[in-house]
Amino acid sequence: MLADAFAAERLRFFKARGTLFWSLMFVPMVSVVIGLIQGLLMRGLLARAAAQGNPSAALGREPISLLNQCIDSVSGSNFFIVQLFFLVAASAILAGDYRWETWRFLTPRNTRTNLLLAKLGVFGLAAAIGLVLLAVGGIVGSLASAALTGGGVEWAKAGGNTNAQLAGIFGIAWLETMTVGALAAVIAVTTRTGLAALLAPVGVWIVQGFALSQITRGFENPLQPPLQYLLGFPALQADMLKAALTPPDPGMAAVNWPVALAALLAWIAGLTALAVWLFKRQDLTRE
Amino acid sequence: MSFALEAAQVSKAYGTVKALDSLTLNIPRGGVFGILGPNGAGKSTLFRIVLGLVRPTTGETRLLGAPAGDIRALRRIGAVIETPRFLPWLTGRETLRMLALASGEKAPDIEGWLDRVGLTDAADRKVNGYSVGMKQRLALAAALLTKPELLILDEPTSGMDPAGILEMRALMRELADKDGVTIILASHQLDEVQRVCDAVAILDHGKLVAEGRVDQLTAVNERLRLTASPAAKVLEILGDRGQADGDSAVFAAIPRADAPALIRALVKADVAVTEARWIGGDLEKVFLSHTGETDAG
Repeated sequence: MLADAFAAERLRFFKARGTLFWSLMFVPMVSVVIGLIQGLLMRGLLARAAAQGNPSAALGREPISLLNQCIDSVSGSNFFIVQLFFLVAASAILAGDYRWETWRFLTPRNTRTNLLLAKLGVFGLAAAIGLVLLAVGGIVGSLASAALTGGGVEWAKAGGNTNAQLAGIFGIAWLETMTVGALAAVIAVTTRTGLAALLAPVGVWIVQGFALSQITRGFENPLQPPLQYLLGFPALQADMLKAALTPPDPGMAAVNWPVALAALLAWIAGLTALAVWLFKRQDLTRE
Repeated sequence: MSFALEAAQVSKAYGTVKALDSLTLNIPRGGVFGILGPNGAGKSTLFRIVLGLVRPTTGETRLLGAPAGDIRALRRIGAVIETPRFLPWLTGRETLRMLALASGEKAPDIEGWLDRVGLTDAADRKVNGYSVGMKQRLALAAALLTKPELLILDEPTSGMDPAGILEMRALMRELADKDGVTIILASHQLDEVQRVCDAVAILDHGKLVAEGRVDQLTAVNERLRLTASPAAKVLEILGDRGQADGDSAVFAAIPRADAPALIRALVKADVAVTEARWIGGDLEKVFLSHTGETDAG
């Protein structure tokens, strides 16, 4: 039953070309363009440095680590502007049936719980694809930059980030995006409007980021935040999980990643449950 | 007796407005059942409640014996309520595929239903470019995809051209008579309801004001118009049941069952009957007498 609803939701999402472009393609394309511009600028600077006999010209041609680029691109997905583009997908998926008045055709075909969970499932799929495309965009941008500067590329630097760290960063970024998606689900069901589902979660994320920047100043150890803050802020949980991927410095306490992970999962589950609860009790008098 | 739809003391209020007011209605399985009522009578609200789109304030509804909103019962019905709306970026064929997937229908006969509703040629066009009538046809195909036992149709012919209306009426009768589908039809077109439906319920201000077989309800206002000579002789035979209509015609206020005996009596009395035609007896008069409305809208 849930699989049926998921299949239907997936079909309609992947046929919506405009939504696919803006939610999944646009940011990676921009990162490629930025890579090209960086390459062109670097090429000019290196040419000038070489003409002046400056030894830093050789440094500019050091091999670029594609793995690092992937990690940077995926890790940067929690930036609110990138989240805004992911929310284009969330808004279309979660609030589309209110906008197009199509609930009346769907609700007699599957349970409301399945229909909403399927929407979040498809958003999860879209988020995963979006993160992969962000990584690909980072790689293509780096390759373009390297081609323009004449620099080399390598997958990983010796002693640097590992593939396991990339997988960890990817998982954390996905969970963080799903938290925003679940929040968008609550807002979509409550307000029945796509614009609110698009903008309100970004607003919440910005406020959260600002609050954290103020609160974390008072922490004795940034890697050991007080429990109430760790439980209350999904962005802090994600930061702690990312920090846990790097081995702690000698003498430093390890990050409490199990609590951070459990709290992040609890946020997703709690917001999802709230959205389903509201949706199951909702009169669809005007979709 | 098993019912397609049962409503027991159902009320629904939107703020201070009562859309349904203690409505009790049982619609039997089989045939085509019409629901009539002026705007705001509660027809669409009733449909929305039984489809689980809205919850009643009080009362209970059952669909095919199961409580309203029961997904197993809902999957045995098809519904087209109000103006159909679809996702504009999907084609007609994709829309049906998507809805079939949502229903868990593993082998939907999409081509067959597209053909049956006359949309084969437009199946690969975006729904955004469909006319209202085409959307109605697509909605009907979507409702029929799961081979429903019960079909709920709210104004299924609105926006259709005359040929489309005739096709739709024929399809409704065919579905009821050949495929055994029970159809519940709400329509503003009284003529359509009278032609297609076997029985009707009339709602007004959220209440049931009349219910019965169409022929029984309309028989109340029906009269036989006889063109005969001499008309005076006809009036004499009919007594107070007769009323002159000009010099050569007479209205006979008799039940249909008495018509053969009357004709025999007239022939025996050497009256030359050149035309006998039932007039009146239309649903419009019945509707107006119960609702006091000037139209069915």
